[in-house]
Amino acid sequence: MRTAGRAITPFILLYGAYVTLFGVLSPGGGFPGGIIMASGVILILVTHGSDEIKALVENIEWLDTFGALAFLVVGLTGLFIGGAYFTNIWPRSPAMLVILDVVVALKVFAGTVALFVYFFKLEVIPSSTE
Amino acid sequence: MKGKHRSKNILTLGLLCLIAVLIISGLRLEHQDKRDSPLHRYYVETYEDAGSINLVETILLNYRAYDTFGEVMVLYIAIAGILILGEDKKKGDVT
Amino acid sequence: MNIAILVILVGLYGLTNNDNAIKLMMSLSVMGTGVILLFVTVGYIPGGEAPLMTGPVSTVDPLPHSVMITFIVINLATTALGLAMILQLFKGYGSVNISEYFGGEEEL
Repeated sequence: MRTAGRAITPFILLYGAYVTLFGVLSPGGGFPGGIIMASGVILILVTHGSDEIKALVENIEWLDTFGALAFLVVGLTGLFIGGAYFTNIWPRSPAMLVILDVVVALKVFAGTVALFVYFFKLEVIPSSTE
Repeated sequence: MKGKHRSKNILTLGLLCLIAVLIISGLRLEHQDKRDSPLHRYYVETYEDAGSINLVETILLNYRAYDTFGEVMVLYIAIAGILILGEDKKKGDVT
Repeated sequence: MNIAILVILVGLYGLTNNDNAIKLMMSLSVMGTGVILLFVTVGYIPGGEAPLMTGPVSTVDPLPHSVMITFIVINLATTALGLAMILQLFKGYGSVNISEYFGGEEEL
């Protein structure tokens, strides 16, 4: 199980990145790509659970905050350049969609991994039974 | 015990009425032809302005990016709420 | 379409006839699945393909699909928040039975 997790995880991450980056040309996009990447990290968390990976993943909430703020910043850029919120800065070019895709994928990835880290760390002992 | 049975009977009756209403309205929705809807035509004709051939992505991130921003904020606030809920482990005495 | 309504009603039945809080969250999730099915069915146009404009093809309505992507993520957030709240309640009360949260009475 550990060997399989170690072998599969890079490919899952690569596939998530592919789904994210090629979301403008094929089925996919930021949300599925982020979830796929998060599933890879969760797989290696479940199979290994070593302290290094936990320490690496523990402070992933800042990436969550970064994703939300970056989405806001892209929208405000459209507001200042194009005159309306989320205006397409480069007309007829998918650059803005790719940027927003990557931001959304990072956000969903960080959020899901933070959720799972939180649920893993819990110790549930009802206080009334003590 | 008796009051619980009565409330469950009322709930079941309400469920049956809801089934009837939903199925009737659903059958009416099924017979509409949405090919001539102006919204659908607008999306299909102007998708080139965004530069992507994936219409779902185009709607999600270009036409309705403000909705997507709200959704991202919902996810962020939910995760922040979960992390805040796990904070006060020391004073876990709820009652 | 009717199957989607049936799935929603199965979720509603589970929502009304359960005392277990975790089962309530599962019922809510089932209801969300039914809503997704209903919206995607409403957006179907006969003869339509997936909304990828690789040429002059007739596609299905792309708007319900994008709305449903939003809904999936919000469903995930709702379920996660509810489960975290149930965990904290379980820490306090030692039970996931919702009738015990109101003083242990049988009457709803």
